[in-house]
Amino acid sequence: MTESTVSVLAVAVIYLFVLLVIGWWSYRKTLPTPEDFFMAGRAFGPIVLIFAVYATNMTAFYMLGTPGNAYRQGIGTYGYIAFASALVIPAMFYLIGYRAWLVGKRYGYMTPPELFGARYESPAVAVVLFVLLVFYTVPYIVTSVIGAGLALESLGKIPYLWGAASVLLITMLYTVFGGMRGTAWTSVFQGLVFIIVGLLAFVSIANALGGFAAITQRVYAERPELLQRAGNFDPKDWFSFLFIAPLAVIAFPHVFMRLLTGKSARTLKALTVVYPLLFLLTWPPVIYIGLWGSVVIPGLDARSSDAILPMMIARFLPTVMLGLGLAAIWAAIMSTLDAMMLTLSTMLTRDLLGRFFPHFVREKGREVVLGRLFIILIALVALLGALLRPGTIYDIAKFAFTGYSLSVPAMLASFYWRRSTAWGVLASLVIPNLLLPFYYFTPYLSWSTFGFLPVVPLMVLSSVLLVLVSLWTRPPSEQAVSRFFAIFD
Amino acid sequence: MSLRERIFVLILVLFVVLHLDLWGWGRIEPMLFGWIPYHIWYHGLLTLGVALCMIWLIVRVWPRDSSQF
Repeated sequence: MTESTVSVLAVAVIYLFVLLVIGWWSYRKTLPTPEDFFMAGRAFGPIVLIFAVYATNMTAFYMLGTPGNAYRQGIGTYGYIAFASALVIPAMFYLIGYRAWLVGKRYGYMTPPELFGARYESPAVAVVLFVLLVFYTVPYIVTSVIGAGLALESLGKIPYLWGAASVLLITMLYTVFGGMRGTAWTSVFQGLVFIIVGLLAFVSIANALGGFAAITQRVYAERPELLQRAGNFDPKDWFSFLFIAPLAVIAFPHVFMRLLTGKSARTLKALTVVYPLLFLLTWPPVIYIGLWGSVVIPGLDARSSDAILPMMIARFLPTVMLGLGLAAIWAAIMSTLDAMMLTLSTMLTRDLLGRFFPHFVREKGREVVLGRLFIILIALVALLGALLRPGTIYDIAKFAFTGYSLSVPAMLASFYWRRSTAWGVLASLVIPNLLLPFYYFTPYLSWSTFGFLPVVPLMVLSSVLLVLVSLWTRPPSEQAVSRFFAIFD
Repeated sequence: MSLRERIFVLILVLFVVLHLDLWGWGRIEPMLFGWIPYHIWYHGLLTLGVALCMIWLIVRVWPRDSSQF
């Protein structure tokens, strides 16, 4: 066993042990009620909620894909992804998250299907939203597990399956026992890990390369095109991207549910202000590391360049940093994975079983037991997916962000347009989501993008359908509308 | 949607226009401190602007009595 493998294994074991301790502590604090297990009693203060939401939002893409993108496309990666997210996500926290939090607190809603189904008094809206969210979330879970296995394989030369299985097992354990409280507090720890390791790697690698100015001037001399956007980014793509990753975040069920766990409006306010600053603090370091990598480890193809961050750590920092690098990558992956597993189990328990077998689910505290069983079932499905590694999983994950974004017009209408109807919402959800695979896998509809990404025409279609079908169909009862809007007015 | 909420949405649209930044698409200089090119300091300042906008949002737009629940 090499020195680097021992270092990676030692840090991995310590890191996973800390997570289990937090999970156990959360288990001791959690009451066996649905409200406490799934929502932690809606009592999170600003610090926990900020980390819970931010760490959930950061995935393997942040630690691997972002530096890889900077390696290939340069410094514009900051504006393209980070600034777009820093602008749109907090705005959505107010426009959608705050109103969802108000009605969630008042009526006890936990999941998006539950809340929006009640808004329109429509089981169909709840079921369609449930199907779409599950369809887009399951592949996302599987790709996270695959990412965890690949990270251990590339950093510690340890078999892929060991990494995938150990991450999945630990995540499953602390989620089963700790519920929402366990996943949120581990997010605080995981968020601190990837933020601190990212900053540490940034400064240490810069020093190892002669300082910030020296290495960046070398990029300027050898690859000046990477320090600007012309040739690397297309303006129409740049504009379109605002509607994909940043807008999708509010529709992620795992982010949406966490917003409902805030103790007070002050908690949400703190989250809204701090969120853009977190992007400014945490994204430039990983972008610069990828940028510098383009001159010190040149010639990598697209797939290999996604490992530029671990490569830079391995090349320029002591071996112990390899272990910390793995912990940071795992932290970003696991903080998302646990939230998705818990959210999916909540939706399966409440939106599927709770809808069709309400008496069975609510008797004798079965809701929490079923929630825990679903987490184990989801972990097994994810392990199977990680073993098979089917190509279609990646394909679905690729257009999942667009799919999530397409539910945002319906969410906005639910909170701001009294006249919107269940039929309008169904049309705006179903038709664009049925067309989505045709944009990604066939050439038939490419004429309708006018050079933009498919999300732009689909978003327009979704909004138009929402308005037209709502106006053509019978308005919802005043009682149903007032139930929500009386809280906002 | 209140008047202030509409102003907030208009400010968001203004940030989107500034984010498109077609006038600085191929620009590198000035390079601050020798390692911060135009794109990073420009979009870094915009990010700080967004944070200030969010402070204005929570002070002037966000309903004051919203903690009652």
